[in-house]
Amino acid sequence: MKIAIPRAGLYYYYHAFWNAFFEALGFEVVISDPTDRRILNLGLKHSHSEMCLPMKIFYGHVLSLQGLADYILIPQFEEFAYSSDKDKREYFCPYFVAMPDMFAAEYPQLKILRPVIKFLDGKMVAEPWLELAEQLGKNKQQAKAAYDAASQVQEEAPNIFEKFKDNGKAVIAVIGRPYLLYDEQANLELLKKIRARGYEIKTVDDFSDEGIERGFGELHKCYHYHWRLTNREYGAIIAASHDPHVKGIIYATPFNCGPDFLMENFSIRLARRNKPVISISFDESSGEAGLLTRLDAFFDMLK
Amino acid sequence: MKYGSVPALNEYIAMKAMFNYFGQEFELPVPLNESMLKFGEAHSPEYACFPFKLYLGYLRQLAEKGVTNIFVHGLCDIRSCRYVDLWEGTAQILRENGYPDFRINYWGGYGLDLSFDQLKEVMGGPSKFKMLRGILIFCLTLEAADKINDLANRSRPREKNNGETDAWLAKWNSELCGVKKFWQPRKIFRAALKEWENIPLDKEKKLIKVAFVGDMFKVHEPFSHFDTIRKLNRLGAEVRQSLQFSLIFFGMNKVPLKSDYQKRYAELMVKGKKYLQSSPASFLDLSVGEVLEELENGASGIVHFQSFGCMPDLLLKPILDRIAKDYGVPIIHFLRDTHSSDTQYQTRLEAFVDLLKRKQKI
Ligand code: SF4
Repeated sequence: MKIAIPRAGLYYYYHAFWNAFFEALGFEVVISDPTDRRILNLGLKHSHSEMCLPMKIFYGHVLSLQGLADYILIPQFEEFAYSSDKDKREYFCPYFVAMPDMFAAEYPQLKILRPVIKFLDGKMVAEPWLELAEQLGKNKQQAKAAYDAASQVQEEAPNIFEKFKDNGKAVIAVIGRPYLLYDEQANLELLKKIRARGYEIKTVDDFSDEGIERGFGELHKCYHYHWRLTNREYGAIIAASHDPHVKGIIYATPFNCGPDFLMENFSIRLARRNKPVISISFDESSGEAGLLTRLDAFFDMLK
Repeated sequence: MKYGSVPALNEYIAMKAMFNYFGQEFELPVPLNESMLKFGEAHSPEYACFPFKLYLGYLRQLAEKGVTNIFVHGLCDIRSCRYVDLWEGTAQILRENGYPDFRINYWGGYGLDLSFDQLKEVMGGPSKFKMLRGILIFCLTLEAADKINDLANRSRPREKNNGETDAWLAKWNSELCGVKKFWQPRKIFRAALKEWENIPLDKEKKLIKVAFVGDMFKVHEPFSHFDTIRKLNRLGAEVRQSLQFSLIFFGMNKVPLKSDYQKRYAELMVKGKKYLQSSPASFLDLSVGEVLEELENGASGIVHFQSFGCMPDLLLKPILDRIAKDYGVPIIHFLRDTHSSDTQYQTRLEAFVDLLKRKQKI
């Protein structure tokens, strides 16, 4: 049996687990190609115009996989909870919550696997995966073994992206969603362009959880905000603004991202007291020339 | 210190009653208007949704009336979208624009103990017994207000004298705003019901039924949804209020002695699962359950009113399209932005109702 996985959305964080889980169950995994013009166009044609660029790309990946496998994985993301603090829960963007329902409504012919993804203290909760394995005809032992193997791989897996290495070069912090930062078609090769100017890069994923949490603490919010990834960005921007290696901060955002809409008001303004910060938004009409102009202006300012 | 609350969900009526009981000052909502939208548009972040802009303008007008604090339910779970962000964002913008003391106070959302602490702080440290009574007044007033609203939606499309239902509704909502004691809401509801039974109705009038759906705050604010319910009533369609706050509040919080609400809440959620297994923001699962119930009860079309920039509204679109297809009923989606035209909407609605009537040979 073949299981298809779209190379989009939170694939960039959890691909290692997904891949290992299905392989451990003895299934063949088919992953969509890295985003290219064809996938993007497919997404643009079939998604909804008001959606953000990453969701349009997600549509492209799902549709590019049609007919290539028996099932397609479209997880239903839910919450990020902490056992130490019962009241502290963070959630995923509503698109990630309802994506399997949207695809089921629009493409009833798709055979969707939709495990509910929840985290407790950073670990993916097992039950939905065990149920999924059983739904695919495996017994309890096989399901448990696959889950354990996948968890192990996820813990040890090298990231899909290059981690920061201190090689003495000046550093630019690039903060944004994984599916924008690590998808070169979506971000018009932003990271390559920065490196080509002689800088090293720290992305949101190079800041430690403690650093991000400390940064978040500076925002003095009475409640922990709602969105898991947005909270990390809030905190990482502040953490970057205190990092002595970081010369400047680029906040890369998908145009029209719902959860991120207060980033400027809450986080960036505060960070600007310490470091230069620019926001660059990306959508399907973003062009190379516009991006280069913004980057030139930013790097001139850093000199 | 003067408090205010949301202009929707009948929550402000229940809040007013609770504040009366505790002897604290509470400003009733300023009716939503165009100038709020203008202010909101000029001061909101780039990607803010329509409700954010409208609320920013609304809160500013409350602040102009001397309100420094908002007291609002603290819905903080997977179903609450940009909820806290919306409040904190608007409050911060107001603080930076001439209202430095503006604050939001949440009630509930993080467990019962915290709810008592929050209430104690806002109401000046009453005893636990007094707080329980205050909560009871809130619940009973909310229930009465929602029931009165339901009655209004039943009589308005059938009334013989134009405007009589709305005059009745305004009168009894205002009575509820004067509640101070826990026995009053039920007494007021009984009196309202008696008067409602005397509203002259055209019982022979042939009406169609329409399911009206959208995000939680908008479907309760006539200004936000271009007064869809009344527009449809005038065109000969009966519409039920979706996402009643009493249903959500009693259903979600497992309020004692309200097991009928909890049962209904659970049943609707189960019903909604047929098309929406997840629980996205703005109670979409409940909305979908309600739409299905309406269709089973004879609704012949769906009006989906979307707000610009609202993610839950966008998610709902393909789900509703599938439902409409499966049930063989027409659907319209209307997307409202700060510049949308009411006249254009009216025209689309008229054409839609015509189509439904033709289908039903009315
Ligand atoms: S978090 Fe923002 S960019 Fe990501 S899917 Fe949601 S709206 Fe799109």
